[in-house]
Amino acid sequence: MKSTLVIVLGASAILNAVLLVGGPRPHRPEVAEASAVVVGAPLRGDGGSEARTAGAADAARASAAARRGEVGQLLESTDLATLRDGLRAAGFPETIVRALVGRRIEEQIEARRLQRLGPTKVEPFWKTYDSFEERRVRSVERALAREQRALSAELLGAGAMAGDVRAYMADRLRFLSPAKVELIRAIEADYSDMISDVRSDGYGPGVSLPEDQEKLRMLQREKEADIAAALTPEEYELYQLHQSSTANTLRGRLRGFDVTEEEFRALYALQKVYDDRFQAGRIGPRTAEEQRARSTADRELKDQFKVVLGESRYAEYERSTSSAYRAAVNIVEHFNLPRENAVSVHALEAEARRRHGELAQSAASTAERASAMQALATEMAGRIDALLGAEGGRVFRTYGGSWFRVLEEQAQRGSASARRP
Amino acid sequence: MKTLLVSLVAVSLAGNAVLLAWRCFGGSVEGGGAVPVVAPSPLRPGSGESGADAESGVVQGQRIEPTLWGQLGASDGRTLVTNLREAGFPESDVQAVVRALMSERFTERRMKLLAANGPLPFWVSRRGDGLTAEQRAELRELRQSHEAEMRALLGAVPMTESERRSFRRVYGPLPDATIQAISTIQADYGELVGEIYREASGGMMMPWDREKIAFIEAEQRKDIEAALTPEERELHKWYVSGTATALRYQLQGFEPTEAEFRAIFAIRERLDPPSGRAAYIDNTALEQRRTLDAQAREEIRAVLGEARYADYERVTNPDYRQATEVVARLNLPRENVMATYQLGREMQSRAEALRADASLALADRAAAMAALAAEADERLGVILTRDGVSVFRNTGGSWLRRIESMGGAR
Repeated sequence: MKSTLVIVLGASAILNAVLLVGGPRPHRPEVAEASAVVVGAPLRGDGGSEARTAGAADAARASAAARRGEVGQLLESTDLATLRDGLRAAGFPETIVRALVGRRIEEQIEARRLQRLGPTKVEPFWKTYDSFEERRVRSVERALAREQRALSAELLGAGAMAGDVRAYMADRLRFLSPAKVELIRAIEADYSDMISDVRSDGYGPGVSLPEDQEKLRMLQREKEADIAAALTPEEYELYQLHQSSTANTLRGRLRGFDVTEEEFRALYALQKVYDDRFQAGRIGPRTAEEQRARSTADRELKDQFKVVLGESRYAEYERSTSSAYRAAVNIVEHFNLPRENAVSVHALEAEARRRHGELAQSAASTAERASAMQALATEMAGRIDALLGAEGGRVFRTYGGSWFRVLEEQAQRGSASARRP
Repeated sequence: MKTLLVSLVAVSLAGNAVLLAWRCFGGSVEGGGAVPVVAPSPLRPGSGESGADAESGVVQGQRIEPTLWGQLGASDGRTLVTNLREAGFPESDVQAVVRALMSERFTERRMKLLAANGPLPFWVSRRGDGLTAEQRAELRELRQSHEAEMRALLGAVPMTESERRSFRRVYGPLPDATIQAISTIQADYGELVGEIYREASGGMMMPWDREKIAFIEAEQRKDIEAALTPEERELHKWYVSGTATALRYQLQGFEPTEAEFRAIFAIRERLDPPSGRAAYIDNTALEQRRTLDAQAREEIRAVLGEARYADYERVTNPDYRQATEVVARLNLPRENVMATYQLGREMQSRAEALRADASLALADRAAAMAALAAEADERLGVILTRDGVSVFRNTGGSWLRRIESMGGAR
């Protein structure tokens, strides 16, 4: 028993020695002992609260001082990659990292802007516009914008979308994964910048050069190829149906038509061929030859639409794209009239054109024709008013029913001719 | 002896326990359970290459406190702004952080609203941004409350240098606070006008839509005037009014003095027809415009005198304006504008003389016109280059195409 106690005592003494002097000591914070706190954490309460409050305040100040030291070193870094990584390491969310690094990139670009364009002046109000100076300044600003985008991409990756763009893309491209939405957004942003540069070069009232059109065509092709490469064939097809300018234009035109999915797909395919050929969205006027080719293609496209939709549906489609019909729809909605009244007003146009044509071809004398045309115009006005009401009829004749105004003008000219000796 | 031994063992074992506890928990704060603040070592200045491992918290060889952002109190705006400033962030960084957080909040709310609307089939038309009128109203209120919050936290809604530059180009030398006030008013009323455009069925504006827009624009003008001092109102008129803006574009090349600009402005403001989104242009309105324009020209002639009026007529001539745009676009010397314009005047005068020459047979006249057109084309090519002549012809060039067509060209 005695020897056991001696052995235990010896082992315990050795252990005490090891624990006391051997190995790294536990770290103690450099802040004030006994009351180091985290900013925001509640201070300890009862018992010695004054002393502890004072101690907590000291600790908070020391924390702030420590943070200031650390932040100061970080912010003094002129290397933006170091700043970026330091902020990330410090737990800053990516949005804030982008904001802070992005702000410094903007500062650098502003400094370059100052070098190249001098200080910004507010011109006196009587200083007129100068196309030459405007082009020079825009050229420099576009170059600086490209520099800024390149630097942002290098430091921060493909770049955060502006909030409204992010929301828009997420909404329209729900069929894609978030990673693919980001990829598509980056491609679209790159090409949008390049396309905008070409369009800016051709700004001004229709002043664009032939090479501008070719550049736009090439950029559009490359953009579509890049997007197609990033998506599966099925995804790409859906992307085009949701996002392409052809799809957007077609949807706008079909607004009052209640198109089915199958109809839309068929019409889209036809419209895409047309748009690719005539480069929808191009800048600058078309040559006379281009205009002739386009007129022919317009007629062919209409015939193709007729084949796809069939006679009855095509008639509905034509009606829905008529501005006079849309005006009539607005009027019946505003005055709470039956929708079919707008359809009836639309039908009046075809009847008026037919009867006007018959009168123009008739063998009647000039005076008789003029009288008949005036009577036709008066009859049509009455029937429009019967369908849309007096006020609705007035609005239709003034703002929407251009066919009626033409009918009325021709009737008046006919009457004036008939009165001449 | 045995008792002493037992006591010594007990004391030694107690010592083991205390020392063991000290080793294991020696960094703890007494009581409370709060997390210690570890003061990190200062960073070395950046060396150009980041060499960082942000995930491990090591940057440039120094360990960075990974909870720094958390310590700044980002959940409370006032605390965050105070702590950012105390931590040494410059005011521009504080503003950037607040803007970024507000923007993120706004975007998240917008995305939630869009998600709530469900997916829209690709064959169905959607107007504008995909939101309902109620949702846009909610976002409008959110934007306004964010602006109010930024003013409360930062004293003003922050503006970048680029934004300030764009605003000053439009509004003139107004103070930042005034520009922001106007910008906010215009954004608010602009959204209301946008609603009307969005809701206009089939994209057609009807008279009741135009009346609403006219009302909104009148209210906007009242609110802007109320936000300005009398001196600022005067400046606003000169920089922002439709008449002044149009004049600065139309008088390119005229280089008016301040007095000339004011005089022309007064006449045009009185006689120019109402413009803006509420205006509806029909044949009657067009005829009225022509009459008023003729009257304006006579009054301007009386004010400027014959010599300066000749300059005014030149720069407001569509041919001169087109020449300006084409020469600028082709990066040709500025003096080529006048050369193009003068060539056009000469050619038109000679073409008119040919037309009026009764002694010419039809065929001879056509041949002479064709020769004139060829001469015009050649001389224009020297001024604008061959490519430039095509551009000129395709973007207007009415006098050239008229002479060419009189000469039998298509």
